[in-house]
Amino acid sequence: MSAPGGHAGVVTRSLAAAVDTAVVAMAVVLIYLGTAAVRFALMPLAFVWPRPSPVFSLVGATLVATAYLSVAWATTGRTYGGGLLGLRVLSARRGLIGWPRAMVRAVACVVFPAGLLWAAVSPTRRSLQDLLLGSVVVYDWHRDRGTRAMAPEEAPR
Amino acid sequence: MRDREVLDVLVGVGAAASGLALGLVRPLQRVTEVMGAGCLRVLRRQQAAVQLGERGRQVRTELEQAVTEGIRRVFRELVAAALAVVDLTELARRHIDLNALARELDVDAVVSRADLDAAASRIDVGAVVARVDLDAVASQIDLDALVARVDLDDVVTRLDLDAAVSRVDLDAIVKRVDIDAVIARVDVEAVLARLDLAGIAHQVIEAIDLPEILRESTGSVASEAVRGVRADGVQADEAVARFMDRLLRRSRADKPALQ
Repeated sequence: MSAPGGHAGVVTRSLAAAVDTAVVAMAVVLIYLGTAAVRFALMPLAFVWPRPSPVFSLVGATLVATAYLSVAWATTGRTYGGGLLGLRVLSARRGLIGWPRAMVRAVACVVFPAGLLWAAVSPTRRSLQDLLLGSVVVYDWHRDRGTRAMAPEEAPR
Repeated sequence: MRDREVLDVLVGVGAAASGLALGLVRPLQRVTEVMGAGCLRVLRRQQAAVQLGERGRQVRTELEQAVTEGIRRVFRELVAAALAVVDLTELARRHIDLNALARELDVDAVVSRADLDAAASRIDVGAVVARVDLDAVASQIDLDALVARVDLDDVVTRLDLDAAVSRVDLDAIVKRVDIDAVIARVDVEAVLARLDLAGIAHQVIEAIDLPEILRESTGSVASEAVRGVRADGVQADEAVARFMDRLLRRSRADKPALQ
């Protein structure tokens, strides 16, 4: 079975988002453990586990998630979750969306993840973020950094 | 002719005289009577000369035969006596130039007349070979020089090696080989010591590209699971889309292209 090549639906995109959430959570935990290790190395006798405030934690997690999504979408068009589910974020013209749109889309997705649910309602399977930024999420099962998915003449329906 | 007749007459006279001389033992009377009567009768008759000629011819013939026989006998005796005294072989060796004679011999003609087959059939080859000291002969042969003159390349090119090899029963030869004994003589340690095992291992690993194999093997297992998840996701997407279409009373023909 080959990749359909069309716009991805809400189920696969939600699964990809869940995977990416887990990735961000792991990254946050690793950052926390790394910070603790540095603190232990610097002050072993006075070491206590870091206790960041909830706001700090929330902001930190948001920044990590935004950075993660921005880099992934700007460079390859897919996050780890997107790669696992065979998805790729492209512009309407089937190209990478670029750094500005990637960063705005990342912020929009982190701040208002519920916008993804519009993909279930939208006849073109586009989320609110997609409608806002003119992006699409397509099925791309190839491991060619999006070469085939980004070629409109070769994109099957 | 006339001289011959005269000679015959004289010989006849001589013979008569000699017959008289030789007949001394006969009674003198008879001799005298015969001579006198004979001579008188011969002389008186006209054909006396003819008779005397006939008689002389006979006597001459007898004399010639007697002389010839005497000469032969004397000559034989002389030759026998001479040969008894003279060493002919030594004489020939001393006075005859045998080389000059041999040079003038037509050896080809002699050989062509000789029945060599018959001669060879009479030769006892076994006895001849038995008398030959083969060891001495072989020791005088310079085998190195002989072999050096042999054009081995030419010999080998004329050999039908395929035919020769096809006649060899390799199975029988291999069966006679004691493989265990051969292996027992192999110094495995020395062989291993000459091998660059580390280098060989490096070359093998480089040729195999182990990391790529590991990536492909793990990747193939993972990709099967991933493809399953992706396919299920696509089907779930389709199901959700159909459900939303029914919920929103939206026909699929009304949907714009998803691309």
